Amino acid sequence: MATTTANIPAPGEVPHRRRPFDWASTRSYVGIALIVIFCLAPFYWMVVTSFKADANLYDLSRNPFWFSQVDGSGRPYHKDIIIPASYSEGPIRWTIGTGAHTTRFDSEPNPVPIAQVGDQPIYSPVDGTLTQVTVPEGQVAQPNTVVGVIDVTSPSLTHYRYLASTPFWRWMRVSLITGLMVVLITLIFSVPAAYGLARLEFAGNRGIGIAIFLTYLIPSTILFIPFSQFVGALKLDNSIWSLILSYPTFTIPFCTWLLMGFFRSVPKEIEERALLDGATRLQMLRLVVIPVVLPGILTAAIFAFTLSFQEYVYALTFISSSLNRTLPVGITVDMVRGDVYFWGPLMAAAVVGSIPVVIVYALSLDYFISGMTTGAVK
Amino acid sequence: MSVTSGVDTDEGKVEKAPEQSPQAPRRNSPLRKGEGRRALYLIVPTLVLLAVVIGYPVVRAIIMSFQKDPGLDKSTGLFVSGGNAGFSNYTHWLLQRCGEASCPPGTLGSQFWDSVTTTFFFTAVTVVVEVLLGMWMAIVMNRAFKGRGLLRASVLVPWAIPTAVTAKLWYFIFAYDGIANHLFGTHILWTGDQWASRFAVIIADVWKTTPFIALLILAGLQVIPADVYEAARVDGANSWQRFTRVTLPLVRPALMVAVLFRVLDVLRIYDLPAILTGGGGGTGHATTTLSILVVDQIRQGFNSAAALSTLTFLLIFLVAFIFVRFLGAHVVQTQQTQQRQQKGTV
Amino acid sequence: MVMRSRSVNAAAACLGIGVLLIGVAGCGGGGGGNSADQNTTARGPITYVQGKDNNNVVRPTIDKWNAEHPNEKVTFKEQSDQADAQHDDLVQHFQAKDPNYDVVDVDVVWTAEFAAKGWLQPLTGQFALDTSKLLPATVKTGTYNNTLFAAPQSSDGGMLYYRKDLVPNPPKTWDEMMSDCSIAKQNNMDCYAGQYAKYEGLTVNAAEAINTAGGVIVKSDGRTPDVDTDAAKKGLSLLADAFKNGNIPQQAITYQEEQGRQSFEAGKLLFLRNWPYVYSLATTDGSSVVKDKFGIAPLPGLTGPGASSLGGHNAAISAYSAHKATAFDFIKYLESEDRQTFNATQGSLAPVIASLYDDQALVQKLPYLPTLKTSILNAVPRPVTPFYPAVTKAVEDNAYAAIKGDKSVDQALKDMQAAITAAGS
Repeated sequence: MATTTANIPAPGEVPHRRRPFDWASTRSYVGIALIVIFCLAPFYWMVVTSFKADANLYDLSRNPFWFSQVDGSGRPYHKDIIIPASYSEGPIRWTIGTGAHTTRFDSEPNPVPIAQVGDQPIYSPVDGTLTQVTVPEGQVAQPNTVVGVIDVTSPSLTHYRYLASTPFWRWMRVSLITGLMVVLITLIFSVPAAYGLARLEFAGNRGIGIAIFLTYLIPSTILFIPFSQFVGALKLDNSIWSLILSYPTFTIPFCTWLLMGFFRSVPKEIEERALLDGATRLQMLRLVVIPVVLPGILTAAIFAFTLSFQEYVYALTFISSSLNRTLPVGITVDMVRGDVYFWGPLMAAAVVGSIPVVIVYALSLDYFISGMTTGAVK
Repeated sequence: MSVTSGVDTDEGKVEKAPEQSPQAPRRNSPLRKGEGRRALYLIVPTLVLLAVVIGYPVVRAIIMSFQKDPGLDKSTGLFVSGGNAGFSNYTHWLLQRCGEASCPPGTLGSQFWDSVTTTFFFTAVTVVVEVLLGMWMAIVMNRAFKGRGLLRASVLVPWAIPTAVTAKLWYFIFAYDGIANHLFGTHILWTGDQWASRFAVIIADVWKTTPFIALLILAGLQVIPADVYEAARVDGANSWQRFTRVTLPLVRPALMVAVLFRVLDVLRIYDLPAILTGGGGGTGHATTTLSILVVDQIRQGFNSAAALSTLTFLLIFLVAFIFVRFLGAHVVQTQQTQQRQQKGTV
Repeated sequence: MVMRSRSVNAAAACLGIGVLLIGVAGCGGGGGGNSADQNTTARGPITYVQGKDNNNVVRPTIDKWNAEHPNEKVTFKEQSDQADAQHDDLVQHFQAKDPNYDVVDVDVVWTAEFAAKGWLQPLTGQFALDTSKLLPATVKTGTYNNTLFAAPQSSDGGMLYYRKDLVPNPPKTWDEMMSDCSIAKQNNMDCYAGQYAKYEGLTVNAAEAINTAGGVIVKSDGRTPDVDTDAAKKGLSLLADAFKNGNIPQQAITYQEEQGRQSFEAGKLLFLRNWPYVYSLATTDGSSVVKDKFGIAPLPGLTGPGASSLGGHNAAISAYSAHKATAFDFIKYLESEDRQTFNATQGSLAPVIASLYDDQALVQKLPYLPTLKTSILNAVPRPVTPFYPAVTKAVEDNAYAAIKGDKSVDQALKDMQAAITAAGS
């Protein structure tokens, strides 16, 4: 069989019989609907939750799958503006009036106070609209009392804005840089190794291939203890390099194994013909082999990126400072106080944090499927 | 059609004719010259890297597993090196010996066999469910229809969310006053109950990984030419028979690879149960897998932890061996056997 | 043939070089001499390591120090919020002999473990601290083998939070509290909760129950277990029975501190056992519906106040620090009256200086101080043992099973005894 690239049947190539009532088609559509619901329902809920205001989010009597403006008793969600207990009393001066929009103070880099008590600033605790002023301009406000009410709107971008006040974007950067560097290192090592193992005949060929597969089997817990000792000894703790140097230990074996399959699917005849035609070895590789194997290399790159983006144990242990964490570790470890999680921002972080991988896959899904077809199955 | 590359099938092996050497006619081909040396330049860097970065730590971990954890010198009150342990770290886990006595409940040693059972339970259930579900999804996705792009995009989503984040998402879903209890009207302590916690982990893992399995199987399905099905239909086979006699055998190689990798992954699983239930549930360790046990042990003495992780590795190796040897998932193949197959099955 | 042997030789050579390199790298770090004797007079910039600063007291404290000591600036290394992660991070850095961790904040139960491993600088000789003004119980938590290894920095004791609008007089005994549970039922609330998830907080609560009934977990030497006694059984049964008859709600088996606090603040819990930090949050949290409706009292015992577990944090000097003299001065600064008062007023952290508990101005700002003082004076420390991780696991696992009803209290205590014995070996 001479086909070197898999052909994904384009829609329409598979014979589609047209019958008066197409049971098969209906069955397919029901199946498709079920699959879409299975895959997307939790994600949809995640997205909706990330846009809900806190009051709506924690009100369990409301519809979980859509937004609600009012609580169980019909009253719109609201938040009281309270003078902190540590403040001293004083006349209140409002900087906004009723009907004005307010933004939650900890989602702003430079929050603007909505009122002043003496010279002590009062910030808005929530995104919403000021609807009530119970202590009007000029009157004395006591600490630990309510001076106004803000109605909360749901959906709101509160949690997404709040992400900016966490190290979230740093985490994203760390994860992306780690992923890209690991992909680079992995390809540098595994492409030549896979080519050598798949293409070139020599004694011990098969044994080495199996040995490389075996290294993928090694659980990270066995490497974990010596690795953490190394990382300490090399003073790499809390540095992105501890990850960039340890992730290839599982990406290289896996990608080498994957690429072996791809290289083997390129028949030797093509290479031999090119060489006979007078091409140098390098030209042969560049012009003939690589283009054919490109889907495979892309698949290996995608796997290496995914594996390192989602890795947890090493990232949790080697990096201890909240600022330098990777995305998955940061989201699950830092958006919490004790055992209570900040669910709104956590869901928002989860949505945004999944986007890089989704983009990578969406752009390369065709390559990916053709790659899997050639590499794992032919 | 040859079904080769990553996976070897038994049919291929049967074709091997011992005396036929397909290399004979090509002894003078330009590729042969200096092949050995060239192979070396290409492969040695990776081999050295793996030996250094994996081989050496593994050896070190194994050496550590034969050392005793530091013991307390009663006179100074300080820890001193434990010295040689022989196999005592291993008997601690395998035979549950804590010093002279059998390990009582409340020590990590007493949890070893429970963890083994839990890990195998997870492996068996998740892989079976994922394969069945994934097969069904792949078959549906293989049919041509409008909206295929939407389907493929939605199938990607569970897999694109980082595992740790998925675990936290399901933790939120399975909270006592969370949406799962809300929708079903139940009051199950998903993260605290013995079996509910295990099924919570299984559900989360199935949600995350089934799409991946489905894609792997889909890749295998898509190379089956339509005329094979046509021929079967002409021969009078109904759809079930077509599935079992045509689809399954032809997709088997892809399936075996997918199953092998999933099995090996679940045997090592750490993040999902650790973040979803903390390894707890039931009496407190219903979802503690072997990897979670290792990490817990590290806090109390890492020589013992090294012994446990060595045991885990041996277990995984054993399972992989069984798969490759007896169940026909051949993961590495040489050019030779592939060519023999190609020649044999044309 | 020739080619193959040559290629094999080449491969072997490469591998040999690789192993040699790593052997050399792995050998590094074997310094000579006892680390405790090094750098004892060195001064310079240091790093202070602590878990998440939820109370916002560390940064202002450090800023003040830095303004007064421009050549010995302190950098704050903030760890995560989880105690286990903080512990593991410290262990990792100590094992690597990191000179960049100078002053570390250690939980009271880690002092023995770290001291026994030689990671903490003994506070003797030129590092001797005057502990006369400090609460004796807190000094004990920093002591191991009769030597002070860590300076108390903040203290903590368990208190009972109760709804004074529903229960005007707080229960003085456990039985009284259990009979008040009918009020909770009438108001559709849960009755009582503490921390019962399987983590360190469970050891705290179980120890409180056992100690309140007159039992102990370990004998006075801090190591030998003595928990299989009738008194301990009485204590643990209080919790187990309350869980069985619903006075402790089912979901409390997953509660750590924050979930209990949220339940109390949402008005769903009548009695809560928690630390003092809840006081200011319950008063000022926007979502708290119990702002002026709750009071605090000492934990109820069998016939009088119950025993609380001593919590708190100590500050220690790392044996590997490069600038120990500065580190020592910083520790004294943290323990100064000025800083202790600041921590109390700004962060609701219980001070370790005894006289501050009677300071009227402070008591006005922090009404819970007298109750807290009673709590700390009646506090029993958790086992002081270098094998603390294994001991606490022994207590956690068995107390969890007993409370949930998976094991009888008798069996749980027997197993706890055996497991603690095994932990020390």
